[in-house]
Amino acid sequence: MKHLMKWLCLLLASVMTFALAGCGGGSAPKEATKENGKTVVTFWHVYTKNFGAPVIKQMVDDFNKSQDKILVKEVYNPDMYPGLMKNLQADVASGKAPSIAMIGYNYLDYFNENFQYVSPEELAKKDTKDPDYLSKTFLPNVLGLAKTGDTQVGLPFSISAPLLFYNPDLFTAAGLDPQAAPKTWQEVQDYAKKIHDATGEYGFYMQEYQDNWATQGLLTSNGAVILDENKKAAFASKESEEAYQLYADMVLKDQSALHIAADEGIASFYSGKVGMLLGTSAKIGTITQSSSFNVMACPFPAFGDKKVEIPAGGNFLAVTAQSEEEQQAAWEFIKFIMQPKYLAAWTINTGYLPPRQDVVNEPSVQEAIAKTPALKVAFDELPSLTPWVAFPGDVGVKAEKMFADMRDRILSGEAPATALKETQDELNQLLK
Amino acid sequence: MKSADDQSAYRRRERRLAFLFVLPSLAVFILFMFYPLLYTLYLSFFKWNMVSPKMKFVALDNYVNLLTDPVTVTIAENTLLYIVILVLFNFLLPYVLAFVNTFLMKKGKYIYKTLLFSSSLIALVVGAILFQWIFNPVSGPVGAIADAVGVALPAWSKTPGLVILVISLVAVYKAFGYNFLILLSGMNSVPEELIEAAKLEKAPNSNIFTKIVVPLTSSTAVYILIMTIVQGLQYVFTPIKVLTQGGPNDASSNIIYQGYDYAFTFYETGMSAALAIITMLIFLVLLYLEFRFVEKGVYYEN
Repeated sequence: MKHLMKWLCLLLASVMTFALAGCGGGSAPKEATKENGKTVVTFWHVYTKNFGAPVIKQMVDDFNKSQDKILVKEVYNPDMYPGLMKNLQADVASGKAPSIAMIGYNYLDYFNENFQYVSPEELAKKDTKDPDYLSKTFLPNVLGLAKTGDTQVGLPFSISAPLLFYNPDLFTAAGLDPQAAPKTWQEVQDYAKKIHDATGEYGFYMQEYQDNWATQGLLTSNGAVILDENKKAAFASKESEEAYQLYADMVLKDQSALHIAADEGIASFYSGKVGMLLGTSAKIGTITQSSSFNVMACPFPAFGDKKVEIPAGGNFLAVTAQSEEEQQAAWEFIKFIMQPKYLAAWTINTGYLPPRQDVVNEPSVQEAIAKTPALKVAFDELPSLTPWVAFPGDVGVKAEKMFADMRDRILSGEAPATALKETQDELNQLLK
Repeated sequence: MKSADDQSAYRRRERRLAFLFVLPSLAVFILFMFYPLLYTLYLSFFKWNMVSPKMKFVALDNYVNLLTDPVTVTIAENTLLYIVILVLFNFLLPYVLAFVNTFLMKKGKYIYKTLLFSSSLIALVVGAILFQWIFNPVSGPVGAIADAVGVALPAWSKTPGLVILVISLVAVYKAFGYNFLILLSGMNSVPEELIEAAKLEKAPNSNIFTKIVVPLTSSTAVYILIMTIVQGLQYVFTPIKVLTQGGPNDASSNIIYQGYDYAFTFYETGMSAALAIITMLIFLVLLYLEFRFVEKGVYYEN
């Protein structure tokens, strides 16, 4: 009996932990936090010691040493953008908010609708020293990545592009020339089949996270539209069907492509069991270091002579500070780290593309490109980048999962037309 | 008359004192059990994303949506499959092994005890990543062995059913050792004479287990059974989160993970709360059945 009561309680407790995060409330502080007379700026990011964080620490240290009015503190949030979003939800609900938050592009709309922030346009306008900072510093299409409608929500900080990594050893073993990388999806299919037939290993793998990032590039490069001007899902088209059919044929008919969860698929590429890996430029460093062979890369393949349109991944910086003093301090810090010198260090450490074009001219970046040619491939893809489609409102996060579910259904044998249509209908139902 | 007054005053004081003694645990209970429960119930009637200042009252819509959503059926089936696998590996198997270890083994008891418990010391996240590597059909050791004998392994992370088995195995290796130890201590309270007598009578081991050990250790067993189900569903949460995030197409999600997903991935607190309330009701019914039918046959030493 005693045991039973205990476990009954435990059960209740477990069920109810869901509720706890929602508790609490209160208003945000309008006064900036001070420490030893310095305005404190908290900077939330998602990078670990192995990936990015050392550069962020360097930026913060250098900034804190460069002046004596502002003290920046960096805060690591585990579990990437969803993790940071969860913490942000909880902190805002309890009346606290960081000064600067790093937001994934796919959360753009959701962030815009649910959180209070100051637009960089407004901050630049108030900055009498440099009111034209935005237009002078960034390309319009890059600014567009962190824009919803006419609103500039934040400033793009990290940009990643999908690209094709390949294993030259498997190419050679299959009688393919490693210098002649596939340029079209038809070639990818052909190469994959040749690799599979000749070596028994898989020819192709496309990263399968629980999102629509890589697959969006596949669909839009064949001319499909994900979200139309009326903000309705419009991807159940002939173009999407064709693109998915090709991918599904590789997995199901040719059995030359691998259909498996992302970490497993990428690990299989590392160990030389997969010929081509469609992955993100943000992992260029990890992939070249972890693989047992000399990794080569080429741009995202095209469908025939259609224009390649690939989504930008990565994040932008949004100012969520509440008091004006803190906002200005945050703006100073953002301008500081957006200097080519720091963005170059960021690019070299992470493989992310920088939001400023002139970073390419930094000697350190030139050196890195010479050493890791894949980085050059990613830089060359900049003109093909389009925003990662963010579905409006609360639907955004759900849409990513629905796209992942759709992909899994198609790759396990369901007809692309049916899966596309059903998912589109379901999404449009949610958008009503 | 006076003495009766005294007595009732005494009783009142006693009652107040008793209340004071209960107060600390009662306060904790209210704060961490009843308040969250009521708040969950309250949230289940709203559509709210945790940050928006607007909470929209939707009455029973969340419950209706849940009960008419085919995903909920998938989740319920998955949860059932998880429970079956966990009961098999985390309850029945350690039960039998504890019996073997206590009464049948002559040598090396301690070595086996230690070995069987050791896997519980590894953290769930580490275990999840370890299993992911071991069972990687393309580049993992199991895949290599299968390859050598000419069998192509399916990609478990994308195969419904199989994905639940592999994720359950992570929870199995975590909870198995604890359950084994507790069942072992239960076995030790069975009087040695009974077993000796049965052995003298040449009773087969299976009879010793079912006729003597099971009835005498039933209290521990029921405890472990309930723990296996309740805690097991939470233990599989970590590997689901690390390995599949509920995929492919909800094939590895369970009722606990789905509740988390609703709240912290989709920010649908109402749906999450409604699912939590439904979960609680199901478990209340199960517990009632347990009290009603199983508890009667359970043997308690004291």
